[in-house]
Amino acid sequence: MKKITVVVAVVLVALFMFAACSTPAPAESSAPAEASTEASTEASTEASTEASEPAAEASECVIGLNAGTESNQFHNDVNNSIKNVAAEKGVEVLYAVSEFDPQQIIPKVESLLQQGANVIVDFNVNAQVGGNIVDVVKEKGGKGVIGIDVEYVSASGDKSWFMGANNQMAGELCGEAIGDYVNANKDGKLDYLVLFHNSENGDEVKKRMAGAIDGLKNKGIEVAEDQIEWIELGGGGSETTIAGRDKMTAWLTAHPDAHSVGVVAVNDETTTGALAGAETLGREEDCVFASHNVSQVYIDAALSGELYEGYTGSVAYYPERYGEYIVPLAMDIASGKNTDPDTKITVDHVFVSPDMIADYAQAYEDYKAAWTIK
Amino acid sequence: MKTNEAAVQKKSMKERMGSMGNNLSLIIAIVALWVVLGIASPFFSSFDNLMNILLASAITLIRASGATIAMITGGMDLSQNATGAIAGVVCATVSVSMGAPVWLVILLALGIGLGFGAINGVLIAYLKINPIITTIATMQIFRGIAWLFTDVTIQVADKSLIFMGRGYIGGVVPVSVLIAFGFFFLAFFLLKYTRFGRQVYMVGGNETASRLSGINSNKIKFICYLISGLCAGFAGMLLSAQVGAALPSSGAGTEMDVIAAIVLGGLSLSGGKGSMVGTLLGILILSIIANGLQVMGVNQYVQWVVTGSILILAVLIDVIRSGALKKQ
Repeated sequence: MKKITVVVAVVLVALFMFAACSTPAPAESSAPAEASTEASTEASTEASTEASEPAAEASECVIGLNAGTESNQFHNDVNNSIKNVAAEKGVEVLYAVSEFDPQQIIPKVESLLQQGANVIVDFNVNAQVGGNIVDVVKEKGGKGVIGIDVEYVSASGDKSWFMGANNQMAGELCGEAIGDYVNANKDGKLDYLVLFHNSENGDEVKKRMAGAIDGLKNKGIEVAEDQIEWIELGGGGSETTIAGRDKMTAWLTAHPDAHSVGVVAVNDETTTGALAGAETLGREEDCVFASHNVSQVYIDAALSGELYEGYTGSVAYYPERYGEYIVPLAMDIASGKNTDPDTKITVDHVFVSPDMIADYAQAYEDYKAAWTIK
Repeated sequence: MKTNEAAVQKKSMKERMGSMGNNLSLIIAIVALWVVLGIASPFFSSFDNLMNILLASAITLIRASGATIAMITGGMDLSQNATGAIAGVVCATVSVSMGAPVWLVILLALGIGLGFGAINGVLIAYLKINPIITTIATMQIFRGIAWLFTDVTIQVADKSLIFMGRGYIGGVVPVSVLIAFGFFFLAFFLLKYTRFGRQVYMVGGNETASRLSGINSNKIKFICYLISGLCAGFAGMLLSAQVGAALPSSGAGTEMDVIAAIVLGGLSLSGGKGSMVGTLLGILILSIIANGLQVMGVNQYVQWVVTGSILILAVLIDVIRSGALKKQ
């Protein structure tokens, strides 16, 4: 009896905390029947202006969305964007999450194909396993694979379609922003370029940092090899804030004479940590930061008006609009209109500086407000 | 009961000598590391870098202050980082969106820690579920709750919180280091100078015997997990203040850092043996290695190999010294 009382008490406490803490969970799946056809996503890119496809064409396409995770804002925006645009166009989306786990990716893809998917959209960004996805889809009679932010090539040479970031361009934008700041505030002199990256993300994502070298060159600043410091974060997850802080602190300690340091990190979370590390040492003015993703933490910091002025900005990837590119592409693949995987679709990035953030944040919120699936 | 406690005290004299020897080995190791890394990098031995090391150790020390107490009972708390993640995101949200004063944020962090610690305590102490299994499960549950609460990174903007996280007293000593040592001394005092502390060691050393001598071992264990949760909640909030952002993924994948430092400090995983001084030294060793390798610019993956190898070496030395190999 005593034990039962304790069990009930534990459950009640847990439920109470759960109720106090939780917000609505993201949608599990999005068959078109569930979604309102009144969804009105703003047609703000070229892709979305080509919106109205014949119903027959839509019915040919069943997207199997194999998501990487539901545990970060960027991926959730991409997943929901695809679901919403598909609902608008009357395309069915079957949904699975592989948690970036190589062991789950192929079984999940097979399951999606078994349920009737004919175009697989994968966002696990795993180039090694991705080649197998292309083979499996071909074997099971699927029409093709779209890799988000990564190109998959099978052992037999078959390829996936690519849709995602233009990493070189994104890196160059960071370099140019740092270059402008250095030219204006540090007499065009840069002592070091510190680049925070995760090896797990692969060479393609590494261009987001490496592109900064070309960006600086565009602004008249040449960076020699021995001025470039690659810092490995040691983990591809989103929790890189602490690592960013610790490694920036250690690096600055080891370079007491560096007073003009350009810092480009793989995401805003890492940059926030790196800035915290520099501030802890009272050396933030030795550093100029540029970052990627325009995450909420950067938006909040920029909106607060108290962000360190040497945090020049963050590159926008518009994950909430990925669906506008991916769904029409999937429809073309399913209908046989597009048979060439070499037609790559990349995002037009914009460097969002703190003075642009209010407009950016408003547009982002307005855009997502129109979604029926959240 | 007093007689039993006296017996434990008497018996622990021998253990205390062993513990002193262990601590001495750790101090020698710290000095040796300091010299070697100081030679390898001229920047390592500076006062500023010592403060960096202490600052990076502060969060681990707070977590470990609670975890050591729980582990001396023969338990384990793997859910601390997840508890801290919830405390971090909730406190940052309350601070940002409601403008809550810093004292309220601190109370909230402690309250969240106590609440989630109580769940662990009930499951382990009263429902007798294995501590490792329990805290692996609650780690997942708590992490899930943190993600349900928010999937974005929340900026910590409150100036008092930021000062607490990365401000300095007199421009010299980091505030969070002082706070961490506050937790350390409280745990040290609890374990060494109070009846509760002696009871913790007795429960960990032999739970049946402690129960027969009149100690309510369930209650002691429950309180230990409350303390562990409380430390975890506060550490989560302070970590957010240190790095300027609260993340639902905060601390994910680094759950073993605290355990490793505690074990390196000489705590027995079977319970009944361990000390806060040992824990502090264990944390310092791991932090010195991490910082030293970072200052030298050594690759992250090499750092993992070195840190893991040192941990195995330390445990192996402990096994050899205790004669466990001979006994087999």
